[in-house]
Amino acid sequence: MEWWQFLLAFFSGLGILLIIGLPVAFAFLLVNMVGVYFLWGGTSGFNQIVMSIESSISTFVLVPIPMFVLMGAIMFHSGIARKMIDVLDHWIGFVAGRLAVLAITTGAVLGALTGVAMGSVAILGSALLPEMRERAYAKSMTLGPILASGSLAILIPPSTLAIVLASLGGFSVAKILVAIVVPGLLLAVMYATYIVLRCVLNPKLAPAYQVPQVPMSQRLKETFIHLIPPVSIIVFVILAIFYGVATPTEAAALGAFVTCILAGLYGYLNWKMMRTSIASATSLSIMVLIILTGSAGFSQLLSFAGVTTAITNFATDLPVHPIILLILMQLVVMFLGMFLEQTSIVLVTVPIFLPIINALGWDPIWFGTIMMLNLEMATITPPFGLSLFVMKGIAPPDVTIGDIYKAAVPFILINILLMALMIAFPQIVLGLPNMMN
Amino acid sequence: MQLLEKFFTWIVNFFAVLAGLLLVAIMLATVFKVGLRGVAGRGIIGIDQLSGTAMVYMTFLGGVWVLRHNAHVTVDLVLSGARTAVRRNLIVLNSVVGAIICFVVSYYGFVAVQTSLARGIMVVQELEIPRAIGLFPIPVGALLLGIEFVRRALAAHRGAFDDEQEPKLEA
Amino acid sequence: QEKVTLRMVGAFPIGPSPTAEIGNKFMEAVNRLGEGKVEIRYLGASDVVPTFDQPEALVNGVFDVWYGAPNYWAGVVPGGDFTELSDLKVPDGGPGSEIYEYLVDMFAGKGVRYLAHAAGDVGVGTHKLSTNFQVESVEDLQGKKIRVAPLLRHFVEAVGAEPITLPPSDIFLAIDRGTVDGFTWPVADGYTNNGWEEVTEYLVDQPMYRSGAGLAMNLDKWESLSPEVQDILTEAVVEAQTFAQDWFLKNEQEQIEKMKAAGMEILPISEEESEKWTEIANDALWEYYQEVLSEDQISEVSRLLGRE
Ligand code: NA
Ligand code: NA
Repeated sequence: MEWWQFLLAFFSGLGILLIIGLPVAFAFLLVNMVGVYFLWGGTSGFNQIVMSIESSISTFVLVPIPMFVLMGAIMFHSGIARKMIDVLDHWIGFVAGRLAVLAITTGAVLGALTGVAMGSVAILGSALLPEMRERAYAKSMTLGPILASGSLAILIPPSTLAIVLASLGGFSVAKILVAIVVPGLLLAVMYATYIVLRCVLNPKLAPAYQVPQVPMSQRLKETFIHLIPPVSIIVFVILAIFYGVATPTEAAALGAFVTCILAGLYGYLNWKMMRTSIASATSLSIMVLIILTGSAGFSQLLSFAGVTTAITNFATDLPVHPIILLILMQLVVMFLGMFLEQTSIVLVTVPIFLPIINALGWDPIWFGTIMMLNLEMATITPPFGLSLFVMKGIAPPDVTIGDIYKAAVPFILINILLMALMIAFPQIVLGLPNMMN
Repeated sequence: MQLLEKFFTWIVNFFAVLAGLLLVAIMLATVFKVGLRGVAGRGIIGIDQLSGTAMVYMTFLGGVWVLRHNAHVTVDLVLSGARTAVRRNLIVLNSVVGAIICFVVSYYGFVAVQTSLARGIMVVQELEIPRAIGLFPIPVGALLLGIEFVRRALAAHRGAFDDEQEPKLEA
Repeated sequence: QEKVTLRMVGAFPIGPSPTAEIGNKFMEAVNRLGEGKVEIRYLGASDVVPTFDQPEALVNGVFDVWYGAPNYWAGVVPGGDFTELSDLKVPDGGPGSEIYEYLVDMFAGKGVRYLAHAAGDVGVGTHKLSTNFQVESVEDLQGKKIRVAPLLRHFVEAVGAEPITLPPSDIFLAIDRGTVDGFTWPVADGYTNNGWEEVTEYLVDQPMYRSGAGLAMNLDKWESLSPEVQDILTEAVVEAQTFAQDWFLKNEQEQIEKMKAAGMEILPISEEESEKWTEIANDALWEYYQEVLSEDQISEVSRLLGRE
């Protein structure tokens, strides 16, 4: 079979299974089994599938996901999150779409420092989404910003993906970590601007309501009681990682634990609340992890069949102007990003891109940073993006996957706009790292 | 039949509670490790590796409970817009497909566990533990998932399928 | 006779990884020597089969030829990496030697055809410790947080350091922020590609074990090959092992130059302390082999390695 036949068979198979309503995890599993049957010689390859299922999730690197989910669930079910947002409303109730902006900011800081996109979506989704809905935010204004906030995780340093990219490409890790700062912040600002503009132009998206006039003394008091402690937990998680007290895995577990203690101090801790929080966190973690068991195998099969390499080679062999080639290479990454997991994309494309980058004399830091922005999108580009699936898992049943896809689109477009700007004005990327020498 | 049904429900809930406890255990063990490092100046090796294995147990033992509450992520582009009759037939169809996959995975999962034990395969990371221990929940969980898919198919066929439930721990 | 095509998967991607170059050289040698008779086709690395599943996938026949670190076999062929403690120029002595044939038998029992342990000369291209604290002897490691690789965990525990697990991609941040005080890495294997020289102060100039690359094949596949093709593969093994000697030396020297240029300091270890260090490191690993190998195997391996 040719690579494009594999591609067609894989994607149409997956598409049909998803359309008839088979849960995503099982659709991946079935396609993987059929693929393995043909590629790895009959049923003997099934042994390997079972192992691939196990090794895709039996790693401590993924532990932050269930931990952040638990932390978010406790914050929501105990009422900590609601109190926090009430206080915030008393201060900045007049800002259009403030909760959406809050999602972006918290997501940027939290995801950024922990580097776990899905964790950030999970924590904000379980703590912030219900509050936004209560305040009658439109679907697009609740889902979109939370998705976008999660995607910032890999863009603001520290970013494991940036390190993988740099070490595979053999260029400076420090420089790429510095280089993604400006585009990362720029993207956060562009997201926030978009939200505020949309909400000002169409107030129905995030209804402003009469916030009761609260005297300053009370505002300050409630800030100390209800806002500062939970915010400190998030700050604590971040500082623990930043100062090297704990690995990201450890910091996430500490964060969940300290949140329990805080709920206890507030007197919210009771059997029913804990049971509800643990149940929703367990269920959400399971639905995310079980998808990972299938999607990892799917990426591997596409690589095994040579599909990923073939697509990349196909685009890079076309005789076109260098700038067109650059855009083509980014399109390949974007296309792969719709279906595959980020690290696999880096592993396959970088060795093929690298000689071209060198031959054309491009600055690899520039190219790498644009690619990072592109990869960042992969978690929220339909049809397959893990953040999209996490969101589907958290959101109430009336939110369809279509709603989620739609909500992601404006943020994807903003992302593409920024990529275009980075291609047109390389100094956006290179300004900061070039000052390092 | 009803007794069997009751027994299965009991199993589903039992494993759900176990999954929840594993989640809490991962948190506590990790906190304990960091605490010990702070106090005794030395953590314990193996917690990270065991957390990874615990995630496999949590996912596969709790997976059936998530399915029962219809909480697995689905691309509901067509399903959400379909008429009741079409919807019901689609649920029967996808449940049958789901059941087949799960039974196949379960069978080959047990084979994989057996092969792994026979070959004496170990996972060598922080600790050295038999690979079979990590693989074991996969066939068990897949078997339960398969049975649940069959129940779903039957319920949808009878027209008694309710797909708007919230996952709750019922023990 | 028809031409045989063998599919190869490796633990590290060819191109960016110097260790993967051993796999690449082996492939090139086979394709040159075996023209018209046998050919190796490279499928990919961890993007194709997850690194730690590769040994079992080889046994299951998912692909035919494998390269990676010798100790990745620890879970499938317990003690199959004992040449980490070898003091021969070529760790397994090369095809035909007593150690080599012993390994071929040992791996055959698990469905694998052992091909090679290819490394630099003794003490070249090995694991070395990088730290952000001064080190003069093993005692200085006590109580420090060290990122462990599976091979080094016995050593790290033996010296009373605290082992921390992290994927390689997290080392940069962990050492930068002090989550760990040090880590071990085969310096020759693209140390500076990871940018570690920018956030690490010292390299302790004390080699540990042999490192390098391992090569292996699916046993059924090997046995299905004609003697002529088997000979071609064996010849390619010798080429790869010879190539490894200079390759790891050259890479290690280049890496150390880059590390120095970035301001890293190479900490010398006195002869006396170095002997003690080696003894502790080797004993820790040997103790582990004693646990996983049978009594018969231990006495035989002990003889082969020249340990009394
Ligand atoms: Na980050
Ligand atoms: Na995507």
